[in-house]
This record gives sequence, structure tokens and C-alpha cells, in this order.
Amino acid sequence: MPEQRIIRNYVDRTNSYTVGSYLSSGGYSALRKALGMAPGEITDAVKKSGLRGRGGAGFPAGIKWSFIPPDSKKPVYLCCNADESEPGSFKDREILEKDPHQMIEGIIIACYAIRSHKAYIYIRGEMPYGAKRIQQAIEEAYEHGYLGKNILLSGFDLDMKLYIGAGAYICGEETGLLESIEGKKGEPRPKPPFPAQIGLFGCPTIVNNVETLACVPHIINNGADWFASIGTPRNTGTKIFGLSGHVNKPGLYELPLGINLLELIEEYGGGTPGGRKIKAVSPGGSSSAVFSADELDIAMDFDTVAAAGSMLGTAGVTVMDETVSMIKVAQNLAHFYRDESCGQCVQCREGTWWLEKILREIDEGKGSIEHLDIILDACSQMRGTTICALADGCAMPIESIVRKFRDEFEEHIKMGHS
Amino acid sequence: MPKITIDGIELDVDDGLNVIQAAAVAGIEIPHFCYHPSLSVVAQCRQCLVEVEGVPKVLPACNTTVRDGLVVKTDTEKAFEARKAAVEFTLINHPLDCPICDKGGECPLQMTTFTHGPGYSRVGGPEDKKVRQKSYLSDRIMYDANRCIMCTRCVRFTDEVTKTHELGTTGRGFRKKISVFPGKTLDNELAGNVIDICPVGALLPKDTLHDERVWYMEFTDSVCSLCSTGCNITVGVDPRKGEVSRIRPRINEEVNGHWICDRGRFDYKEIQESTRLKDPIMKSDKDYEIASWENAINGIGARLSGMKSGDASACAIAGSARLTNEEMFLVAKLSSTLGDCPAICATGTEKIEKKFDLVSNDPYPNSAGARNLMAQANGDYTKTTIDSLLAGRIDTLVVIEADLFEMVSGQEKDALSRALEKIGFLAVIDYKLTETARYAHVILPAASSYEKDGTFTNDAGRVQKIKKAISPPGKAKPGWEILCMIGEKLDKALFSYGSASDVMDDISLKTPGYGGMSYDGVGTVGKVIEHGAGR
Ligand SMILES: Cc1cc2nc3c(=O)[nH]c(=O)nc-3n(C[C@H](O)[C@H](O)[C@H](O)COP(=O)(O)O)c2cc1C
Ligand code: SF4
Ligand code: SF4
Ligand code: SF4
Ligand code: FES
Repeated sequence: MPEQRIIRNYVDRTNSYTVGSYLSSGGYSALRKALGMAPGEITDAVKKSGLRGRGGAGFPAGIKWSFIPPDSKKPVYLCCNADESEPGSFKDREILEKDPHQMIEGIIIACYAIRSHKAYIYIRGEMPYGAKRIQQAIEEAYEHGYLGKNILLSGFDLDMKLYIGAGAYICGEETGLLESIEGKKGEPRPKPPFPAQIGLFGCPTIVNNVETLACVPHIINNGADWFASIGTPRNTGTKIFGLSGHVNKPGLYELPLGINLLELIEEYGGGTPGGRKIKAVSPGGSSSAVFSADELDIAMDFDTVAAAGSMLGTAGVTVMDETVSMIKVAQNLAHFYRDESCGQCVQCREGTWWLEKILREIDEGKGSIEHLDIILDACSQMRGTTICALADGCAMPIESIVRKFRDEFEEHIKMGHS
Repeated sequence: MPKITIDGIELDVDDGLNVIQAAAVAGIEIPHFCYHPSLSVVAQCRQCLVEVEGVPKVLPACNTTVRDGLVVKTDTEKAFEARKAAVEFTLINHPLDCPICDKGGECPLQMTTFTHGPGYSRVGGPEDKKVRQKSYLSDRIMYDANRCIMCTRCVRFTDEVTKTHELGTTGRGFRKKISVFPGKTLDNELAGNVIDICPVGALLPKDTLHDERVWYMEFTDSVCSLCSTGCNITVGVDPRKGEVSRIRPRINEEVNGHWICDRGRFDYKEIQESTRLKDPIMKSDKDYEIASWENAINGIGARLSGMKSGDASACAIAGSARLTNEEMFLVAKLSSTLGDCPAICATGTEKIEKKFDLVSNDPYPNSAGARNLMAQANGDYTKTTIDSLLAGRIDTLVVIEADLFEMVSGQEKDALSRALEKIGFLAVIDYKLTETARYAHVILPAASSYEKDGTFTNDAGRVQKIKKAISPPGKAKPGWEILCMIGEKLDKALFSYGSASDVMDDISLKTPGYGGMSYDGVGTVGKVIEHGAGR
């Protein structure tokens, strides 16, 4: 079965990132169409399409847009979240590097819908190549009259600015991102208020993921019903899955939401090297609870994965075969989150430090059985108690690993080796 | 007014309150570290977690605003466990060195650990904790990063209250700490307040480090005497040392909010360490001798009685805006008992250089009181009297808590010392040896503002009480008592007050604007004089 490419349709073309290439495949026709519609009609279409945010939480994009007060006295901002830093996630990067105009067109349409005249693209500092492509694409869009004053003679004005982050995972959290654009440390803000009420520089703001915005031109061009007909009724459209780890053909696969996880790994990923047994799979980026080998027969959509106790997240699927030490996996995760915690919330700042310490000690053969319950207690209190979801993102996978691979931990502790 | 329910208690609360404030109305204390009523809400420490009906997650009470129908539960197992866990997390890398921490005994983290804490550690011993360097944010304030719980109250204080922006957090996650911006130091005039608002012993005054134990201290509510704002303070006295060992702000939203300036906080030491007068001293021939109160007062009494029957214009009394209302009233009364003897307010001309609204540029605590209670002591009158003093026309002078040399400048200083050298009789009442006192025939040791009762009228016309926190050194006495002792020599009935409060009762009967004023009425937050009186 081939992929069902919508967003990735032209990424393999030479010069796919240029405006010329984009125009030759019908680029910016959605913008023309959108500018002939009323802003509310666009939001309605996106709502009707069922498009859910591709940044991790799966929040319906059209509904989010409708939170922006239509008669705001303050300026409205849109921020495109291109911070993609979650371990195991690399889907946005391809769009940024190979088909940036698609995303830019989506941003312009979204801005028109929410009456924003200033858009930011926040790209992570470690993607200089993508940043260069985006900057070039923005300049091309200005040259062609898709950005700036009186876009395509519609009377609509929009400026777009690329903002390059300084290298922190937490700046991908939407309010950490806003702080960062404002020139401050990327420390998430307590919610409420939500960005749609008080966002960038205190003004109503929408933050959307790269892939979310890249879907928008296709919805406008082909219609909300078309988009809604792909995937499952509550999980519409295609999704770019980033497959990595112990698979023969790692990479990106664009498939309808709801694709079976085993099918993704076996059919598209070509199974594990040497046909080794799968031990665990992280289905949605490092923050998602892992599935054990017997949980893989599952539809990869937001609701089904959530019902199974994990989350679709960024749909970065990491496959771990039987050669992997789950203790090292857990410790590696704790290490990452410990270093990336912004340090505001005690459960996160101290909890990630504690988990890393205990897991390292267990790995080094200095652990005790009681440690396992401490880990589970700490994880449970790190969930749902903090300002942002980074603490949850640390606790969920670690908790699942200790629960599902407790035998491995206990054996390792009893053997006392490293 | 929204109607809310907290732990089953129904109450109507003011709009805009958060759940910490609303719970306090119901007498329920929700532990919190980052929330401070005078700073913005950041909901960072995650200690104040409670359950709200209809919300699956626990919520921070500080960032939850009341609304009609809100049902809050602080006492459910889920809420309590969340707060208990927050304490455990907070203590993971906390040194728990309470026995040697100056905050011990008045530490919100310590108290919350008692009410919520697990009581034992699952982390291990000190060797299992991260250890960081102590540092100094200024010459006066020490920062112990090990104890810091990253509530950022100190940072917000410098961002929101002083707007001086000396502090920030550096580093991320477990590496995060409080830092002073390069090239800055935390030395603004209000900086010391971070010590009070720090909910742990991470910010401590360097000068008293390892020198204070709160449970030994006795506290007295009082008012600062170092400028005309009249910030409300508590004076902490360590009875083991018998001296004032700290001044802290006392909340009065009408005057100083939660803050005081660093002069008010630290300058008590200057008073304490100045050469204090401890005994009455009389000059005999060329020598000074320690005298008894009786002899000294008799000496002054005899001299003034002589003036009373003689030429009153050859006599003067000089007080200053450092006096309490009661003392000023007694000075004025003394002067009228003596007939035409002028009472002047010999207040210096220096001003405080200040940056913040809180601080007044008038370094005297009772300038408004002087305008009302020593009404005849207006500027012109004072000038004329000083002129006659310099011209040698004044032969008897009583000076209380004033230094005439602060009023004159340059050449006049020489003229003043010549006049004082020749004067027939000079009595000085003060807590320290002033320049003027060097010419005195009788010196009476007075109590400082930490050692006596009284009231000041601040620059907004608010009458506020100072209270005796500690006994004056040696045989020193409060100024009002000394003035009464002298007055009794002239007219016993007129000056037989039993306390400063009795004097105030008399003031209330006789002074425009002070009608109805009493120590009870002034209470802990003061009372504003009637409109139209000189503020
Ligand atoms: C710690 C953390 C990191 C995040 N990083 C990203 C990111 O790199 N890119 C992204 O799009 N969303 C990220 N998110 C999710 C954003 O907060 C936000 O939900 C998303 O950008 C919204 O876009 P969407 O509605 O289009 O999905 C992160 C969230 C958390 C808690
Ligand atoms: S959960 Fe962690 S990363 Fe998020 S705001 Fe709190 S401390 Fe920062
Ligand atoms: S030093 Fe004190 S006030 Fe400042 S952040 Fe640390 S604990 Fe809070
Ligand atoms: S501002 Fe004035 S009254 Fe307040 S503490 Fe400072 S000196 Fe004292
Ligand atoms: S007091 Fe509410 S989170 Fe700190």
C-alpha cells in the first residue's frame, strides 16, 4: 500500500521548497480562494473538516480559532510552532525544509480567518537549514504579493517574521514560545488566561503546529467534506508518522489517521532488523506512555491511543526491540526531561531530578525495590499538578515503563549489576 | 458578591479574590510560597493545590479566582496528597538545616512541612542532595541557593515593586538559581524587603547571620521614626542581649503596605551604637558630674521658676520634629506656663535623597505634629528666636531632642557657639551627646524612639503609635516623662500625667484636629486627624 500523500506530495521534487515549484503544483490557489470568502466561513470550514492540532494535544483547530474575539481592539497574532524538539519527532522538519510555502499559505489563510496582521514562525535554533529555507520562502512570498500590504489586491495586510529559538524544548510549549518571542526566558505561563485571550504581548494569539497549518490550504482547495472523509469520523485527515528506532525502513509516512500501529511498523517500516521481537513502542513522541508488544494492534488516532492509556502526541513512533534495556530507556528519558524542565514547578524541577537520580542508581546496580514505588508515586504526583505538560510528558512514559516492565527492573535490582 | 463554598462553609466574598484569600476569610489556611498579596500571581510553586468541583485536576488556589457557585475542597484526600507531595518534592534538594538556619521558627516551608510533610525523607541523606555555593546579592543580603525554592518572590519584588530589575533567574530546571544581573547589586533603598518575603532562609541579612533565633525574641508593634512616612514596624528585641535586634515591616495598606526602606530596617544600629547618655549630668565649675535625677530636675526647675517671675523673653525652649505629639504638647504647655517664653521647633534643613514614593524626603517623623501642636513654633518665629539667641538676648534655654547646630550654617555656627558659651543656663535633653549638649549646664538622658511610648503625626496626617520595645539604657527616661518632671516644678497640677496616653487624652481636648484622638482609637493602624488641621 502506498502512502496517502497530501502534505508530502511534492517533497521529493527537485527545488520543492521554491515558490516556483510550489506554484507549478497549484500553490497559493487556496489563498486566492480564501480571500474571496468571509473570515468566518474559513473558520467554519476548518471546524467542519474536523482538523485536529498536530502539535500533540489534538485540539480542534477551527474551534481554537473561534476563541479569538472577532472584534478585538488589540492586535491579533498567530504563531506557527516550528520548535519540534520532542525526541522521536521529526515530521515538521521536512515541511520546513522541503515544502515551506505550503505552511506559509496555511498561515496566511489562518491569519485572514482570525483577522491577524502579524504572524510569527518560531523555529528551533538547531534547525538552521530549515530556518534558511523559511526565510527564503517568506521573502519569495513577499515578492509575489502573498505577504505585505493588500495581499492579492484583497485589502488584507499581513506581515510574517521568522523567529529563531535559542535551543530549549520548553519553548515548544505554546506559552513558553510566547515568552521566548517576547524576548524572555521560555517559561510557560499559568493558564488561565489562555493565549486566545491574552497571548503574545498581551494580545489574543493563536499558536498552531506546522503540520496543522500545512493542512489548511488543502482543506480550502478540496473542501471540508473531502478532508473529513479521510481517516475516522473524529480523527480526520492524514497524519505524518515519524517512524524510528528498530525498524528496517525508518522515516516519514503520511497515512490516514487510524492506521493500525502494527501495520505501520511491519508494512511501512519493514519490521525490525533481523526480525527481532519488539519489546516496546513509544507511539507519539517521547512524552507518550509506551506500549508493550501485546498492545500494538491498535488504531493510531487521537482517541483510540488515549483510551489505551497513551497519546498520539506528535505521532513520532519509536520502536524498541528486545535488545533494549527499559531501565536505560527510562533513565534516558528522565535525563532529557530533567535537563529541559524550565524549573518553575516543584513537581517538575525536583521530580525530574529525582527520577533521573533513582533510575541512574538502579541502572548502576544501586537500586532497591522500594525505589520502584517511589518512582510510581513521584510520577503520579507529577501528572496534572504543574503549569505545563512537560512534567506529565516525563511521568507518563516512565510510569508506563516501570509498570509494564517491572519484572525487568526487579530482576536488575536483585542481580545488583549495572 | 460571589457566593462560594469552601470545605462546606458557605460564604459571600468580594469579587476578584483568589481562593487563598477567600479561604482565609473562612479561617482556612492554604499553604503557599510563591503567592504574595503585593506581587503578581505566577502559580509556580504548586504548593496551594486544591480541588474545585467539576474540574478533574487539582488547581492552584492562588490562580483560581472566585466566581458565583464555586465549590472548593481543600480537605479531600486528593488535595491533601497533592500538597503533601509538593512538600516532599520541595524538600528533595532542600538542605533541611533548620537548626542552623536563621529562618527557623518563622519559616513558611518549615510550618508547611509540619502540617503537610511526610515526616521522613525518601531521598536519602545530605550526600544525596545537590550542593550549591552561597553568594551575596549585596553587601547586606546573603543568598543560599540550597535553601531557595524558586518561588521568585524576590525577583518579582525587584520587577514590580522597586522596578529596579536587579534580580533574575538563571539556568533551567534543577540548575536554576537567583542571580544578580551583571554589573548590578541588590542595593536599592527597599532591597531589604526581599528578606521578609523569602518564604525560606535563602535570603538573610548578613549582619545578623547565625545571630538570631526568633523564639527568643520579643516583638513590639511600633512606627519608624526615620522619616515622615511613618512606616509601621515591629521591633524585635532579644532579651538575652537586651538590645533591638531587628526591625521588620508591619502591614498597613494605608501607609507602607508590606514594605519599609533599608534605613528604617538597618539604621536602628546607629541609634543603638551611638554614644548613649545614661545619667543626668551637671556642670559644676568647669567639671561635669553625674547627678541624681532629683538634683538635675531641681536645678532646671529653680532656674525656670525664676524666669516665670522674671523676663520670659530671655528664655526659650527648643524642641524638634523628632519629638512625639505628646512631647510637643508638653513643650508648648511648658512655654505657656512660663508666660512669654517662646517654644521653637529647631528642625534641621537636611533632606533625604530618595528614589521611591514610600520614603519621604523629610527625615523627621513628626513634622505634621509640630505644625499642629507647636503652632506658635512657625518658621519666622523660630528665626527671630534664633536671632535673639545669637545676639545674646536669651539667657535661659532648654533644648529637647534638637541640635541647634543642625539649623545654622557656616559663620553662624561660630556665632552660635559663642552665644552658647556665654549663655546663663542651658539644659539639653537627648538620647545622645549632641553638639549643643557640649555647652549644657545640665544634660538629661532621654529614651530613643524604640524605648518610649508616644505618637507621631505622619505626612498624611495619620496619628500612629510608637511603643516602648525595650528599656532605655542606664537611667535614661522618655522625653514626655522628663518634661512632666520639669513642669511639675512649675505647676504640679498641670503636669501630673501618668502616661503618654494620658497626655494624648489631654491633646484631644485642646488641639484642633485631634478631637476624639486616644490610644485606643489610634489602634494598630493609626487614625487621621480632622480635615483642615495642618498635615
Ligand atoms: C513541553 C512541551 C513541548 C511542546 N513542543 C511542541 C513543539 O515543539 N511543537 C508543537 O507544535 N507543539 C508543541 N507543544 C504543544 C504546544 O503547546 C501546542 O499545544 C501546540 O503548538 C498547538 O498547536 P496545534 O493546536 O496545532 O496542535 C509542546 C507542548 C509541551 C508541553
Ligand atoms: S511543568 Fe516543568 S517545564 Fe512546565 S512550567 Fe512547570 S517546571 Fe516548567
Ligand atoms: S531566594 Fe527566597 S524569595 Fe527568592 S526565589 Fe528563592 S525562595 Fe523565593
Ligand atoms: S520610608 Fe521612612 S518611615 Fe518608612 S522605613 Fe523608611 S525611613 Fe522609616
Ligand atoms: S502559591 Fe499557588 S502555586 Fe505558589
